[in-house]
Amino acid sequence: MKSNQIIVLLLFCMITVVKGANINAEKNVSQIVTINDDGSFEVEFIEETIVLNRNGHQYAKAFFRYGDLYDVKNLKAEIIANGKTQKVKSKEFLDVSADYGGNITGERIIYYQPTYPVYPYVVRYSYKIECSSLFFLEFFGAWSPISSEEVKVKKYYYEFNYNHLFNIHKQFKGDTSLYTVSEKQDGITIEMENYVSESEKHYYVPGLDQDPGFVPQPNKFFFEGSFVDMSSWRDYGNWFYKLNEGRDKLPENKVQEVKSLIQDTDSELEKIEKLYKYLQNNTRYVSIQLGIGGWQSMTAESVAANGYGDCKGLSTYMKGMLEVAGIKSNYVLVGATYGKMHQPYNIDVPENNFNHVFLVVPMEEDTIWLECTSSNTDMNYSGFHIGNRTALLVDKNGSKLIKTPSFTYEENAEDLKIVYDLEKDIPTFEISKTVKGNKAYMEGLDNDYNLKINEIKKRMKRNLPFQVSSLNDFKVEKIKELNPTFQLTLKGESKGLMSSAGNNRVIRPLMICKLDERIKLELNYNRKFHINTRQQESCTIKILLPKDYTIAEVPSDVNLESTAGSYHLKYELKEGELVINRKIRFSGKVFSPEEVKEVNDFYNKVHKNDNKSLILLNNNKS
Amino acid sequence: MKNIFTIIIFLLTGFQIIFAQEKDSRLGEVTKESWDIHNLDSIKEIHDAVIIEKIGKSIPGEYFGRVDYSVYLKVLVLNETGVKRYSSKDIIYFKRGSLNFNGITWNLKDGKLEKTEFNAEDNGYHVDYLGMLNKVIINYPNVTPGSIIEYEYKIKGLSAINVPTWEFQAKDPVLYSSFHSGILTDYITRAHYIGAHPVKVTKLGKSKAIVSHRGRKFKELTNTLYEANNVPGIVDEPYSQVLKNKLTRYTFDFVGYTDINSAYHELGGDYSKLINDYLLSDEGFTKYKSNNKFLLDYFEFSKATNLTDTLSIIKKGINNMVAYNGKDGIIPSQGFRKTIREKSGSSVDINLIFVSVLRELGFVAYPAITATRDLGYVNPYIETMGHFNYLLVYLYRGYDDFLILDAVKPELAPNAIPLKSRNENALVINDSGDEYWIDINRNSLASTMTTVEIKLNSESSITKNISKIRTDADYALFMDEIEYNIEEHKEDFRRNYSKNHINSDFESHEFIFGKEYLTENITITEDISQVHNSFYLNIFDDFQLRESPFSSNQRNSDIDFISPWSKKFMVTIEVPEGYKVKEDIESKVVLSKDKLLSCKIIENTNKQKLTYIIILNIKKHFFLKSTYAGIKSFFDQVSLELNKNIELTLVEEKRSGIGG
Repeated sequence: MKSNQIIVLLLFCMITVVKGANINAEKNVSQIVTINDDGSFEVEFIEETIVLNRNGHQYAKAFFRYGDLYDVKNLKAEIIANGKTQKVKSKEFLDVSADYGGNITGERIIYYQPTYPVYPYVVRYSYKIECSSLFFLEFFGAWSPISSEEVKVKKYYYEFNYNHLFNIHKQFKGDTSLYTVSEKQDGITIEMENYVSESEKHYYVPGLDQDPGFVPQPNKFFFEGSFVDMSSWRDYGNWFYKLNEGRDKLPENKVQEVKSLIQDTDSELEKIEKLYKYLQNNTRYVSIQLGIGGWQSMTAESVAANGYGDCKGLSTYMKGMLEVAGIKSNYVLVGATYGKMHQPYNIDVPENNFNHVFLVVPMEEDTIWLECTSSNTDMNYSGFHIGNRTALLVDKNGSKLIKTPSFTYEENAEDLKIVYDLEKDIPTFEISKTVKGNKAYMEGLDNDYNLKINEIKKRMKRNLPFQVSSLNDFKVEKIKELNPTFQLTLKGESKGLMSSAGNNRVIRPLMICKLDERIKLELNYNRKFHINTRQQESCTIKILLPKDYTIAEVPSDVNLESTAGSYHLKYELKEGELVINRKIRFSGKVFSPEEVKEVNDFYNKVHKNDNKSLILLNNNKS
Repeated sequence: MKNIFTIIIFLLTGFQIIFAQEKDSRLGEVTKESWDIHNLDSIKEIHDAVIIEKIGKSIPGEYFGRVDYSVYLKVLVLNETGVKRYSSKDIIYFKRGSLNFNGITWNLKDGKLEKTEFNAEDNGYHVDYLGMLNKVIINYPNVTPGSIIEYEYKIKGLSAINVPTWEFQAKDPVLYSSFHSGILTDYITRAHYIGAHPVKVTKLGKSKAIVSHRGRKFKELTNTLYEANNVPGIVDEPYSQVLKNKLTRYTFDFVGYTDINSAYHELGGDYSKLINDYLLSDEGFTKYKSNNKFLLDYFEFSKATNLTDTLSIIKKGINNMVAYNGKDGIIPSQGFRKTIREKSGSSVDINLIFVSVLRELGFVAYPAITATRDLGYVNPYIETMGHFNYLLVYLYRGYDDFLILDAVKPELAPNAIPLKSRNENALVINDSGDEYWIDINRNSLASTMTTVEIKLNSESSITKNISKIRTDADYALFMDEIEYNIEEHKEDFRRNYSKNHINSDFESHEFIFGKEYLTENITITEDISQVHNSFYLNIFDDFQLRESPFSSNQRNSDIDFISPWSKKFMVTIEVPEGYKVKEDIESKVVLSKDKLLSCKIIENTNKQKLTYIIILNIKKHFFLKSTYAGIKSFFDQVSLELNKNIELTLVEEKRSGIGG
């Protein structure tokens, strides 16, 4: 008992030491938000970073964006070290345009990276951010202590001052026991001390911010002359609708072109497909977000003339073409990319947290989703960019939150069929791989695949777990359009399929299909976590055994079912050959901390079985 | 009648002469045939675009000492990557200069040629970039895969000394590239060819130009045309040189001019002259030669017993006094006292302090200037100061014996030159100003010594104690590779290691920064394959070159290993009592045909202990691509040997426990 107690104590010390082990900087911050009567607001910052070592430098840098809609004023910086204070001269700050080809915002960047040879040293910044509209309150007026496990927040003081002219909804985030909130009649204060964020890194839930924070959400205000009503999702969506109404009108020559394109097409689905392909073949993505242009689309006419636009512009152009074809479509606002997949939305309180627009075409029997910025994905493919999440459907008076298509196992699947012929003098391999949906996307397979054949071949060869002596055949074929499906075939020879162990041979047959990484969470992980999206992989490996060799021991079959997914492994030894069937499904769940052990157990077993070696005994010399 | 006919002929000839003069604009030279490119299908498999024409011109501008520089480009984009690369342009230019930019996007649709014109005024987005610089961002309209883009621009008022290098080669293949250089006969220039692809040089003869300078008109130009055809594109490959080293190009150098009073001024000259004129006569640069005894007060040398100690003390002292501010060059930005006071300095400031301290201690030390790696190697035959942008420390140790040092990175040993400044040649600035070149890599060696001790535990697991000692180039290159972030490296290493090893558990992983070495110690336990009473393991698992770095059968560029190699690996396994070993690993030597690559495998086994040693050497760092087949074959052979396993079989009942 006593030794167990000692072990527990040591473990506790280790965990404690490990947790605080990599603090590279500390911060003291004061942030005061004040709303003015005209709907503008200011945020005054005093930010002090104590750089503890070389790895802490990055947390002391100054990086500000400013432009017509928000500005940085009164920026001052000091370096304090060895009891001395040194002012940073304004000429040491770099002030440069943020724009480049393909991305135009009209903004500039102020940048400064302090350097000092000894540690610790302190960098103190004071500055004020001035915003012209409450539209940016959720960004610049929010409280969000730094979320890095390398930085300790020693003290954070946040003050939010109300203005009676504006209604503000208060959203508190994360573990509220980690900070102290004081509510007064004229505002709130939040204080936090000695906080270090938990490490999420690899297993973070994309889009789910689990760190402490506070977001003030205004519901009515002006933005660039436009009155924005965010009392409900419906109101917000309707505002977006009005802001962009009428911008989808095509010039006459384009109207004629569209009509000519679809003239021999009866079905609506075919019309959509033709127009979508036309959009993809004739336009490209260029981001232009100047002023309210970040929310109001370029006109369809402008996109038609230039052949480029951002997500709003390209969606508007597509919308206009569909309109000419007599097909109704709606804008959808979304937090796009994999990193925003599980972004939560309060159904009662809208927030300005979208970064992308695409189109949805509601049809009688189905709904078609159109990602208008991609030149090479299939119609209706949503994938990591816009799939499996909450979004806002924009309508004239009926805007509402919706769900984009979820992923299914079958739609995101990989199927491998492999033959290893070890009988030959130089063993050969034949690989046939079928990938669908997100699995195809991960392989870089899209409608432009025929322009990248060499690249795909190189990548496939590079990812083989054995040395290739020669490649005899390689093919890529697209089998299906909607929910894109591709088949890849690779044949060749390899001296590295088996390795020797004295007179015997060793093979690791599942190296070709095993997991790309070892999944293991710390036992004390106490946040929600996410491993991967819902998908499945199946693999059949046939090994033609070399003459005079037998398998020393055929591993047992494995059948696992878990909240993390399922795993089935079966070995069948037949005359002169071994057939292995492996099938794994990943549930794609967002897991709670209580599920860490179960998830670890599952992946531990998968990992162990995938890495098994098979020993081939030499019958003549064993 | 005859007279009228003669007059008509004369007039026509006159018109021809007028129209035969060079057109102001090349735009519009696209026809349907422009898409008929030989081998286009093969090119599409590898490249993202084809540069059909790239034409440049530099002729004297309106004012003396200035040129008008123009570029015309015609490119066929093949895919989305090509669209991204060529469908926009950011041009930075001086506010006082002027920019004229026009272009056309061409698309061939259903056999019809469609064009969309664009220019900087209508399609450009203008910003105040930085200081005296403006930037215009132009997104070309209607560009899709299959489009041909033409554009041309002219920058007026560029300094004649700063005529850009003309690159005939690019990432994408170039079908035709030419550069017309028009130089006033009063200027003396030199053009230098660098590369592997032929460039034809044609003297076009003299022509007239009007250039104003205090009213004086200069008359004559010497015209030269440089041309290249069918220049292949550059493909990314492992262990290849930086892009700049691969590009076929011409650089232009002004070495002198005659002024309005017909006096000749030499700008260039040989290196000795340049060193004396530009560096040894610069008060700021030569501060290291003055009395700098005060610097010694910042260091404590009492514990130094040898050169290594001394260098380490100096470097550590400098790193504690001055932080690198990210700036490079060859002229110091400030004096030593100011650098120390401000605690911040450029690489020049830092390394000149190093030189100075060494000299105060009585060593023979000089600055050595070079170019950072990304700019390509410095060609000693092109005499210009323009291509140097980094300063190292040269320490003389004896005849043909020297050290190259760099104090900029606090994490590195003094002689571990970071990849950034590891660039073939450096020019030593000795006190006499003589031209003296050194090969930075000559005394450099990418050396790693790895020792692995394997112990068999109970329950089919092993414990490995791995120690890696990196020196010189390997020390620096490793730190560069992990971006000086040790903690992140440990995490990445753990993650990658555990992918292929069952139940691996890292008991410890630490780094020790020595005066000359970087030591990495790792202790891992993991499961191994077991069948009945036999265990199987690959003992060379931790040797970094167990897998060949070269998988492709073809090679498009020369091979650069950055530095000669010396990799040593030793693994020992204690054989528990009662166990028998079966393996077919033999002592052998694998040699490349030219004997420049060698791998010695030494087996030394007895009943209780197995020891295997690998010594892999590469004698030089640069190999022509024609030798690739031999290099690949060498690594393939080594890999085959190192993928062998050993089998440990229990042949009698255990008399004692296994392992620890």
